[in-house]
Amino acid sequence: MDKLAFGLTYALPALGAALGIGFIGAGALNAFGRNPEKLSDIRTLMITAIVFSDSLAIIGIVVAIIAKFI
Amino acid sequence: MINNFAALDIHISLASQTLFTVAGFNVTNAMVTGTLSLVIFLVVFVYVSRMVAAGRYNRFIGLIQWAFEGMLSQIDGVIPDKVLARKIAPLALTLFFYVLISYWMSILPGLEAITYNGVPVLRSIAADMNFTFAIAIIALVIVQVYAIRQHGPIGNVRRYLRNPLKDPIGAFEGILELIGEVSRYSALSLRLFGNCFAGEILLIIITALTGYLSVAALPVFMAFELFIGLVQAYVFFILTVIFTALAIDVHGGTQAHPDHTSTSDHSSAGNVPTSVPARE
Repeated sequence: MDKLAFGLTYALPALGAALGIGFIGAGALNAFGRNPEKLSDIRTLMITAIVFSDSLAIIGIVVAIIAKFI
Repeated sequence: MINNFAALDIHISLASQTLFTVAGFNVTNAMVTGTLSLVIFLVVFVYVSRMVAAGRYNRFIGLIQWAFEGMLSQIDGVIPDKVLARKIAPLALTLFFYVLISYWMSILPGLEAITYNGVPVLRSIAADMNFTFAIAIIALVIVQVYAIRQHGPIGNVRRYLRNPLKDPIGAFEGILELIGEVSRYSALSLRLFGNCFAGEILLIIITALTGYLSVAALPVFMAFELFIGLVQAYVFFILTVIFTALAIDVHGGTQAHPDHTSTSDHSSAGNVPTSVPARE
């Protein structure tokens, strides 16, 4: 059960982050399709948004490691 | 179970371990690696600035200049006000290059193997929460200072505490801004710490799992770590700039302050080359 908890502590945030990043990417690609000139602006905004979503998954792995090894 | 395969015992310690004490002060392995990365940072940038001032260029200087100008143009993209962009640039660029060099030190071979009195010597300072919190707090204080310079102290407090009778939605927004300050900077520090710490643990576990085959398997993960280090340093840099822009530019348009005698703050840590053209 402990091993299941360790696995899930990272797996669930990773699931959320994967879905979130998928939506962000889809939105960015749609925006690029409508306005192909603004590629670099869209890229910057997309990376900023992806980082916000990704950091929650990273905090998940840190919590999992802390709970298991300390 | 991993210890069955392992050539080495895996000890994962969240805090960085003490190597030796100097007059009662614990010097940890992250501090030693951090000093090394500081020395590398200073050597590279003093060299580049001296060569550019003397007018002699080569490919390495061209590379540093390209990275520098790229980041500077990113700042101009986020902050339209040229005076403020020039002011925030030294701190933001110093953070970018120093976090980058510190993160990249986590790849050096011998991550757990080189020990001194049983304590591993190499550990990137970005994997030490003291460092990441310190630079996040520096960013927080600097953003507040710029906000106070722009709006005045009362105006700055009024960003957070708005009158609930005249503007109820604004009052709620103000409370959210207050919570947002804390959460943004904690996330800034935890993101960098989590990425670097998890990267080091990944390298240790891959070494333990593959044994002698790690000669072939590790360089792939080291390249991955280089890429992630670049992304995380860029993200720290651009988020600092974005938070400054958000704090200054509230409810309509930046105003260049004509009253301020622009004391050009030359932060001595960012010995940047004189290649920045006069943009005024």
